[in-house]
Amino acid sequence: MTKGSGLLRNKYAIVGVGETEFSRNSGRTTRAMGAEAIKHAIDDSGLDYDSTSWGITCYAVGDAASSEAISSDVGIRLDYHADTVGGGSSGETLVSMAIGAMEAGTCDAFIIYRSMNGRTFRRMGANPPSGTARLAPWSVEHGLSGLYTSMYGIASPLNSFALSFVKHMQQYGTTSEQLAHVKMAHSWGASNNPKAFYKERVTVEDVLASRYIARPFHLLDCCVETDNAVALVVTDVARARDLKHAVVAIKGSGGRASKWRPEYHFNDGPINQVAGIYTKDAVFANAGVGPEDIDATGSYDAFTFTSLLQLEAYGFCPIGEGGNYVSDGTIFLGGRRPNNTSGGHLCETYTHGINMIIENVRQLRGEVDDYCPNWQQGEHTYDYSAGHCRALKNPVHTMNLGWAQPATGSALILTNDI
Amino acid sequence: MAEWLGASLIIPDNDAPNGNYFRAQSGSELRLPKCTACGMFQYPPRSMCPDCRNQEFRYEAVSGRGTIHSYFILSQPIQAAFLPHPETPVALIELDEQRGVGLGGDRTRQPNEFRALRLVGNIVKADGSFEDPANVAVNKRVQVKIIDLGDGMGLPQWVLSDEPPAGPLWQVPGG
Repeated sequence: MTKGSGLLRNKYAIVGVGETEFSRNSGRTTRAMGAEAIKHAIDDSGLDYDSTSWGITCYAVGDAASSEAISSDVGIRLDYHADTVGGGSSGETLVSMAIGAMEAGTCDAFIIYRSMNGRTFRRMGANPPSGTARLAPWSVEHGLSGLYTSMYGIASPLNSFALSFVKHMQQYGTTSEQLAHVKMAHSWGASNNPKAFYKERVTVEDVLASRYIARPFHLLDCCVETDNAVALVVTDVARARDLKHAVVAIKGSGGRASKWRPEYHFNDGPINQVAGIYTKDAVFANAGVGPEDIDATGSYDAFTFTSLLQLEAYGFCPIGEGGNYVSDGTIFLGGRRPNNTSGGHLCETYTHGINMIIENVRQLRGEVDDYCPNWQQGEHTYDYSAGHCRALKNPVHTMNLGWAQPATGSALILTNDI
Repeated sequence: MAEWLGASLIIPDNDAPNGNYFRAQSGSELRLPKCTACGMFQYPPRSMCPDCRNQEFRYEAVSGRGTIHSYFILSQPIQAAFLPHPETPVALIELDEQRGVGLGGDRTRQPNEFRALRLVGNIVKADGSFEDPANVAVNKRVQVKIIDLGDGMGLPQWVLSDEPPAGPLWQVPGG
């Protein structure tokens, strides 16, 4: 096995997807939400709770119950479990870890989940609800380098990512108006997604009129913060063919890769290019396709610009031309390559990446839950006006682009063509 | 005890790289850890030189001059210490030293074209108070100003200098 060998191309599939309600006040523990999302994903797959040899992993940042606790509630016995630390970009990364565990003969099906009270417990970009001020006193543990940003006011993901995109604006002339199209495009998807948290379509003007959080970035450049759990079930394609849904195969994955010295990446390489410049070689080689073959993208949109920087890094447009790419209609519903058709993190919900994978699975199955009268029978109108359809016409390949920060990235290409 | 914006700075005794860094900024010069084997300055401070794996550094003064590479304005601060200071400019300063030097012990590892010593910092006035965002722009030249934190520790900040800019000036939309 070498990087980019593609030897496991189309050998495994995502056979189950599930989620809880997306809210800003779940009133439940991460344990309770995690169990529910996993139940929905297993039910969606059709795999048997009792007789399946299960593996499981979750990711968290000290903010969720373990898979031991949650699997005890779901009533499955584990042949493999290993919880991981992480937030964004973990979903795509753990899919390849799950494949590795199954290739090693440890289990037959693998659950990947994330459960988080991202609004009412651990907020990524603000103080917790208790009002306790974060990062004061100025302190450091384990020899990490946080003081070299925190003491200058950098306290949130937006603060720490802002310098990268401002450099993009300065170097390439990218504008706030172009960037606002990302929010606008994702809001089109959300307007046709009954479960999206923010369903209202917004305009470029709405984004620019919202207050500044870290100038030049506005409130509507930032994603929603929500409480929710999401889950995927992965198994081999032979088993998948006997299950409930059309097979959605894992065609290739890459990463999580990093730039040089990712803990403080500002000294190595252009700060306005992100780790996808490394991940892309593995993911496209493993999948045997290129950017031009991808029908829809699911790009981590913690902020409008994280999508733009990733789409550039993976070669959907030349470096520096992301401003045109996101604003010329391409990424909108009805465009050549829609991005985040569910509304993504900007509009649908915030799950550290997995809701965009779930969306692409449903798109490839032809089972998108929009407002078409017969969507449950897989009948779609392809009327992309507000309150109607968000299903793509015969998509074959989708790609998810995972992000934790500018210097880390992961990617996953799925297909229904096997 | 060292303090910054009313909050104390606490570094564990076993964390020499972080402790040594703030103690090295006790004068008026910016002093950075330099690898005693390959001679590369490293920032942030760390226990091992990622260019040659040596584990010994010596602090050496640099010119303290640089260029604003990127910046943003902290419109909505989060930390308690910054709540009284909205509109603080947060910048990435590219130092004049060690620009474009290749990675690795042999300096050949790619990519190296964009390598530089870049320090996050605030733009401040001569008295140490935060600079008006209207005066900040990419490519403006800056000079270090060490803020005394007490207890023999200091924090590098950056003052706009009289030197001509390093390139066309550019400001974030919204001023």
